[in-house]
Amino acid sequence: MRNGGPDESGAKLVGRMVRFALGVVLALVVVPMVIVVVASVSAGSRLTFPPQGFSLSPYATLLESTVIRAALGRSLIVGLMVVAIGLAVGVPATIALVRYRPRFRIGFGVYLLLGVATPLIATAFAFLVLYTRAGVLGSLWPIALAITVANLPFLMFSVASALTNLDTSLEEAAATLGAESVQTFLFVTLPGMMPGILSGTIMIFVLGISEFLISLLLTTIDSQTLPIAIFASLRGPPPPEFAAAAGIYVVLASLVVITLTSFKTTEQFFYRND
Amino acid sequence: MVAGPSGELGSDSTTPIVELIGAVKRYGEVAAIDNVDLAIRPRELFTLLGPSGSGKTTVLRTIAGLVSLSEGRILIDGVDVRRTPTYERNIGMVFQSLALFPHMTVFDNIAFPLRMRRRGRSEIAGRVKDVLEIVRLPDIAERRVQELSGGQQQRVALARSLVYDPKLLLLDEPLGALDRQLREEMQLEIVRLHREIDVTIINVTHDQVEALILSDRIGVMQEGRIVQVGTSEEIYSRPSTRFVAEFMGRANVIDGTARLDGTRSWVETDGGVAIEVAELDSALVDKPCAAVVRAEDIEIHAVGASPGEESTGLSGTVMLRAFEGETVYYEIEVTGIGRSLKVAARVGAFDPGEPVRVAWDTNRVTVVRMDDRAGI
Repeated sequence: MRNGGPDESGAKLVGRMVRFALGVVLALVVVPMVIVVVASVSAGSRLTFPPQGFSLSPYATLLESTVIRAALGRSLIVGLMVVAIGLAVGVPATIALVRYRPRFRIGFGVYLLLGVATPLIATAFAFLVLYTRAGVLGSLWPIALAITVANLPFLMFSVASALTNLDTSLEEAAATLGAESVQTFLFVTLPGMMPGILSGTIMIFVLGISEFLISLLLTTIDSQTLPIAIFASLRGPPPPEFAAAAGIYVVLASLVVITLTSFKTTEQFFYRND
Repeated sequence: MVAGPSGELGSDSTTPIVELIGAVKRYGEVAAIDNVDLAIRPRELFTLLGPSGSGKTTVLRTIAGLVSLSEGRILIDGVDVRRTPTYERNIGMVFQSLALFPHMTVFDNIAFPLRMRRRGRSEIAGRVKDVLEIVRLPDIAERRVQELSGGQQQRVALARSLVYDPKLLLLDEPLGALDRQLREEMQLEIVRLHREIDVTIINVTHDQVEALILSDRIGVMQEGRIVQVGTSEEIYSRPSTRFVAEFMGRANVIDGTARLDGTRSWVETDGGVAIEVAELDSALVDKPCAAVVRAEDIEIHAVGASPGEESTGLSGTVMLRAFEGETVYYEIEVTGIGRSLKVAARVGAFDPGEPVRVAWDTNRVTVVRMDDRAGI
């Protein structure tokens, strides 16, 4: 480091600005969540902020509702289905696109992006028409399938970036050490892609359990997922249960992230220093 | 199998462990390696030396089976390996990036090739322990590879490619990224390993000093071709082309035309200076060529002192002096030879601007042909 001079004060200024910007971003992320969680433990029959007193009754009310409980269960199932379909389709597809560089590779990329770029209501409507014809409306898997289609690119981009960053000499080294291609894939390529697969999985799981617009069109009264059930129960000013439901989402998402990042192997992947 | 190439020392008639015959690898129109013939003898430490892009790594990768040849053949132990995939070639290779598996411990990295060979648990544990002792790194088996220092990672990579006793070890510039001290330490380590273990090593480098230190023989590569093969000594003191002479370090390459008159032979520069030479290939007579004089073979004398009878004396002026420890580096401007001479002298008594005479033993002058693409 150089001592004194305009360089240093300039660097200090940049450092201060960066820290300020970071603070603003963190605040934007955290403040709404804090408000929701605080409001969800507020006493009283109406949702207010600042809270009028501490009470867990909104959560109790929420979880006492069999409708909400069933919807929560369905959302978790849909989330897991989204993950299952996404991994089964997304990981092999990403490997094919990145490694084997098929013709029309860019075309595939654009095609995939359509799922994200298309307004969700259009995607949802298309699936509604399709499912009505097929007569599968009311089951959970069609909802999961539609949500997966809309969110698959998030998983694929995450896996693709991990795969692109993977040093190809690792696989070559495995071959010289006596590993056949299947063994190389299982013991070297797949572990190397794990950070991307894990973060992609977290992303599509959270998107899967909280997806609203597609679910709104594709659920029936018997297959309502949590966001739809909450939306349906809204009449008049928002009750504290509303905040409690949002609070559940915040806690759930935090738990998923914390659990996944605290596995020893995961940690090793995320923080490996190369 | 017929005996190997004749005339080279005459002592080796065993089957080469690796043989490339007319090997060509093209990427589109560009030939990364172009008609390479090469025979590696069992147990030798052979270095492929050349600037980046000269094709040395491609040669190594074709031997490993990571790149397939466009034309020609590769024999390993006398057997054509065209249809043998990399994982069946039983070759050890240390990559430039080392390619240690980042998600595994040191133990798991080294055990990997043994597990691929379905060896027993206790055998694996024993062999990993042994090989870690060979590379002098006991007690680090449970560490993760990214916790290791650069030198330790080098040793682990070596251990991993030696643990299954391959007959052939390929080194793809693994020492390139190390700082000088560590690099020299690892070079000696490789020489030691080569002496202790029954293995043939093919090393790739662009560092001529490394090549000279390590190698039993060196193959110099230029633009996809092997331009000269020989011992360190041969390559250093008798380069066969201008390129090799310039690449091997501080040599003065003086361009001119070879002349022969009775018993006297010399290289005549465009400036009319005659560089006497002791030996001259008759094929070069009256052709453009270059006289090569190594910097350390040149002596500097004060004007007036008489040089020896067997020497050539030229007048010049000191342009630059730089103290280098053991030697003093001079640049001496000599008119008529088209360039100033680089001199590594043992004495530092001459100042810039001072007129001097430079001289050398004519036996130390090598005449090389100009570079062409005609092969050896």
